[in-house]
Amino acid sequence: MDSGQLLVIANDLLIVALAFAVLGLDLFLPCNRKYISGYVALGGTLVLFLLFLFVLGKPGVAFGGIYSQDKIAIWFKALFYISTIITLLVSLDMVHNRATFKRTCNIFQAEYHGLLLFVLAGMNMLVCANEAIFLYVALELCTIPLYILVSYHRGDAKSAEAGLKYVIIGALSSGFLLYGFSLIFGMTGSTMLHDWARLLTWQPMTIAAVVCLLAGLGFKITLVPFHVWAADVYEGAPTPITAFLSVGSKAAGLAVFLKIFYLALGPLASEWNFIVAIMAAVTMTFGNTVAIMQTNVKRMLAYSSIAQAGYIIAAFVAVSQLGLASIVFYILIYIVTNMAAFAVVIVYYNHTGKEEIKDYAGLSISNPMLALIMMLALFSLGGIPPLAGFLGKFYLFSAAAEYGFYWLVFIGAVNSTISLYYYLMMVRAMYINPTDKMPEKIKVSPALTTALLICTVGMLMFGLAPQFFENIFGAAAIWF
Amino acid sequence: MGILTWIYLIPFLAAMIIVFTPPEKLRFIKWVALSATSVVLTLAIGLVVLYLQRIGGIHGSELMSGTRTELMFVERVAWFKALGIEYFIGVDGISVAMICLTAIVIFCGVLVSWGVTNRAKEFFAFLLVLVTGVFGVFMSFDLFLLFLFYEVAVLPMYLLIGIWGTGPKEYSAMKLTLMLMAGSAFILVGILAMFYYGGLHSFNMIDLAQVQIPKEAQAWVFPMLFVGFGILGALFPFHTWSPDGHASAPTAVSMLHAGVLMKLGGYGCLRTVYMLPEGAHAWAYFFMVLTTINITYGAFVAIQKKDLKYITAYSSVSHCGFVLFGLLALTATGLQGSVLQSFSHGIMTALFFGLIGMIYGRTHTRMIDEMGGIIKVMPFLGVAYYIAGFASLGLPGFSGFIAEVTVFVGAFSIDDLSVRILTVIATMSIVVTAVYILRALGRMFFGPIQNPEHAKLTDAVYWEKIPVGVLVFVLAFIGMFPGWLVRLIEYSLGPIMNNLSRQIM
Repeated sequence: MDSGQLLVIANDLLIVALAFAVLGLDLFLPCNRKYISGYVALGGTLVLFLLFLFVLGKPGVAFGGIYSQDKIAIWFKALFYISTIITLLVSLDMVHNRATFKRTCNIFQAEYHGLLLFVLAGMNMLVCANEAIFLYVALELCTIPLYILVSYHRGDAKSAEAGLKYVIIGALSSGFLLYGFSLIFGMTGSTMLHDWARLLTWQPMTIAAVVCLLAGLGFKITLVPFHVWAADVYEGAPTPITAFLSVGSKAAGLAVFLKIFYLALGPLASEWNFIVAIMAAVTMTFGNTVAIMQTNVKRMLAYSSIAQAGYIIAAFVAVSQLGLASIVFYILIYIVTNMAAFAVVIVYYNHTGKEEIKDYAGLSISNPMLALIMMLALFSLGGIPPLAGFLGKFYLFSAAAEYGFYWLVFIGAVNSTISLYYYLMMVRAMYINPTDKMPEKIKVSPALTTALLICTVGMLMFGLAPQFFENIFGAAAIWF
Repeated sequence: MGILTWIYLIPFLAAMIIVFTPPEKLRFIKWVALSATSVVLTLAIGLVVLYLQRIGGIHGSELMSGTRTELMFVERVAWFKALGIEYFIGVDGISVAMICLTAIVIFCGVLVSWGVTNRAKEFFAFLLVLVTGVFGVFMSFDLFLLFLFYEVAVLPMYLLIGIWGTGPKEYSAMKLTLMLMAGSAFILVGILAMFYYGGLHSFNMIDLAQVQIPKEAQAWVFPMLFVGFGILGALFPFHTWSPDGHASAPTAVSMLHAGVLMKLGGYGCLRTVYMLPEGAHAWAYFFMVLTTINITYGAFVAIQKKDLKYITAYSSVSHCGFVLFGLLALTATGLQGSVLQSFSHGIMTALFFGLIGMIYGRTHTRMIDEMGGIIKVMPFLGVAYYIAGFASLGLPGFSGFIAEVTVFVGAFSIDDLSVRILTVIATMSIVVTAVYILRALGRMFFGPIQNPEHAKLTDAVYWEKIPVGVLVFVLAFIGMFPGWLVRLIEYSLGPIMNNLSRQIM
């Protein structure tokens, strides 16, 4: 293996090394210093991100084509880094604070951060994978640590339940995915994705394989009817992990979806895109209608994120440069937007221990900035200009329209209206509803302030500055 | 940056200044809002004068020829290249008129809100953001940009009504927002269809109007866009958000909403007709029937309402029906009347809602039965209300007369019996209008003072007199010197008419 190839995979290896370093460092930290691991993880990830942006993020191929880092993969890796960094920022308080009211110290801090870095490594690998088995291994690398993270608050029954549900559903979906892979392997005799694209024809066996793949991946990105685990897991998991599941892990799922359906099954697009269009329509409609009934903020955001998956999948139907670019761009926007909303929820929960929508009454008067950021995030999720969500959705829908799916665009746009209802209910709680006891003024920690700032700037900037989409659009050309 | 960018940017910048001002500095906040809107009003009047100069003055006879709308004060920069989206703003005469209307109404709206003390900082900030969106729509000639500004204009309404409204405000605010957003769902589909069927890789409205989009496509894209914009223009049966919304909204918001925001709908429909003339011909009669229902139904419902705001809101539904009715006649005179009616109704209804707010602030009731004889204690407001009422029922000398006559002539000149019947039905609504206006006027202002409490009330103070004075002046000014407005509109109708006749050739 020459040094050129090593350079291509260096980024992923360094993340794994960092993860081990964080875990190893923990052995030497006294109990009251365990929180240092969080800062090491954060600092290390930041350094690796910069290293990736300026040095290692170059297109290249390794292992005879099994591992290929193209421009889209580079964009995805950047997205994974961003979501992990923000997750680490919003976790610091929670992981550290838990010590203050439980025991003298939380001895599992390094595990939390280390496992998150393993997830990052797994995500970085899977987006470069061009071969089914490698893809599967990478996917498991990023899923298994999440099982543990979801049940991180193991004393809490809800968290433990969430973890168990996630393991079972995760195993089931992996099974479907593998079955789909093996069916295709049976037909083509190869595990390379580009061989699949060349050899596959539309026949009954292919339909079975596509259905298995849709089911397997549908679990990962919460497509209806494979979404049933989402709300419980999202509610039970520690909130930063919920945030990460809804953006980072979903982005990883979408990356796999793109790899399989665009790269491997792209030539058969006209056969499967109608099924995907139906799933998109059902997913967004279901997510939005159920979200209306939620009273818990986390559950509301969980169903909202199911609906968002529906919007994203709507752009899949156009197997085109615009479709690919709009999906990647939307994920970027979705990360900052959803993270902003979750960051406010985390701040509020850390201070008050409350997460019902009605508990937010009066927030706009006692904490105007938090309320404003929450409102911006909700409006961005609802697709209101000039926030980033508007532009992102516009691109997604124009991709769907490009292939002639106007009815899907219509359903999507109507769904945006429905979603606005429950986003506005939250706004109403913060801005309109009177309250007799004002929430106290919250002092936001530096880490969370940074996270909120990054997300807010992102929400405003991505919606107005054209450079980001231009760049992604240019990068997307190489797949077609 | 040219004059147009400044017109929408100044309110936005003022809103930003207000956001970062501590809420205790109430006077400063109000003065920022007032100075911003005064500057914008000056710019808008300047825009009218400059535009008129460039087209050869009021008495010029030159018309825009060809099918391309020639814009002035154009600012054009490529923005999102992947979809050919441009930052493309400019004005033709119709836009100029609507910008002028918006500037007048927001200026008066800020003055009317001078007494707002409850969370005034947020109120003025949202109001200014709202008007930013409205200005933006009237000057955008890129469909994406137009859509963007359109949504900016709709959403602040939720908070403005929800926080500062009266009555079932949360219900009304939610209903209004959701119905208008549903309208934008239609618009979005229509815009994307225009983009792909147009095949120009551009959202440029003027270029798209030159393309003959296939008739089968126009047959469904036209109603999509027309209904989408029509919801905002209170098209029957999608008007139900408007009475509730207007009745619950605080004064300045009712003024802005009925005066300007509903005109966005009519304006959008006008541009739709320009871009999709074949679709317009195919669907005109269908929508004309709906707007006739608008006109008569709105007027009849207004008769049986007792709440002043509901009366005015239903009267708006009826009057906004004229805007769309004139438009759908698809004749030069009809289009002219439609835009004139937009302008005239905007001023008139702003005056109405402003006055209702002032009267309600004193009597604490909007029920006409509970008032009576109040002209004795508030002569200024009473007389102003009379003037608004007369303008509303189309008394010559006020703008309403000019506009409605033009609409009727425009529609009646079509040589088609069924259209003429609709026109006659629509015309008769004027009689109904007289009934509810005069009845309300009589009960409220004349007779003995019913409630002894009302005898102690006071008349308008100076910051209420200014906006009322301005609006009354504009009403009468257009009524007597409509020439400048007619010239602005007339000059710009050429391309639309030429486009409409292209299939007949």
